[in-house]
Amino acid sequence: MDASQIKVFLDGATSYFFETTGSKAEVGSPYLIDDARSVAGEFTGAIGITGRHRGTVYFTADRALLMLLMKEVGEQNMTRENMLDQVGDVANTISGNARNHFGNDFMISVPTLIYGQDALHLPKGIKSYALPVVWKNFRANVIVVIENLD
Amino acid sequence: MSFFSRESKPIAAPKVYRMLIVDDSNIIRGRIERGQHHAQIEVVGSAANGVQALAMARQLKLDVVTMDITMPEMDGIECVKQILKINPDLLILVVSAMNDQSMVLQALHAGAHGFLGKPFNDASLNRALSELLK
Repeated sequence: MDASQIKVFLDGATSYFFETTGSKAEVGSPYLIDDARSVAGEFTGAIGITGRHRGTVYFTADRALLMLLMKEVGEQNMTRENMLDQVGDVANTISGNARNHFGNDFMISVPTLIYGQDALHLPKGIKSYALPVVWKNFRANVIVVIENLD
Repeated sequence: MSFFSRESKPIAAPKVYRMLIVDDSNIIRGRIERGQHHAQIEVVGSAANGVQALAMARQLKLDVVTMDITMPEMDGIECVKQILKINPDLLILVVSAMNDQSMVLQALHAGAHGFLGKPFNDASLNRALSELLK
């Protein structure tokens, strides 16, 4: 992954929050991580990537951010199921939008939804980048674990 | 007091379009249902995948469908093709994060009439629905 590729996912995250809520999110500097423990939130959506690239894009956040995000879009049912659906939607949107950069053989899966900070395990053998996102003072992370098969 | 002269014909009530929402995300189904404010659209059902959508298309009288692409069981592109065999008059708005040109063309070639890229908000959703009904 080079800087321009990482920027695709940073832009995807900021676009999601701004277009959906009208409020900008700030993104921090991406950094390499060895495991998910330091960045995992309570809720994670994971999108599998296949095609010329292979890997997973995650969006992980805690309850407080998700409750505020869901409130902003009029969702009143703050169940665990809906919070998992919400992180799945963010991960799906960021990954789907990335096709504009990576091309139409950047194939995305349906979301896998993960509950619990300890339940998030990153694939071994591929560099994992954490992309911090701060929205309304709440922190979340996009985690990009992708390799180019070319 | 009458609103019509003797020669006037009563104005026909505007058509109400019966809409099905197809998306595997409960959050998105809710957002579309709450966010659509088109006066002529009534949401009559929602489906979590293409297979459910086809079953509902056989049971319900539908005019409009919003269709996700990435879904389990049957994806949205295949569902667009199949649902138009059940009801060729359906108006279909594809709603997807895969908003690249090739996917838009793929959806339109399958028979969809419009495409709304994610992320969306209520304003862009309602603009897309209004365009669909023109």
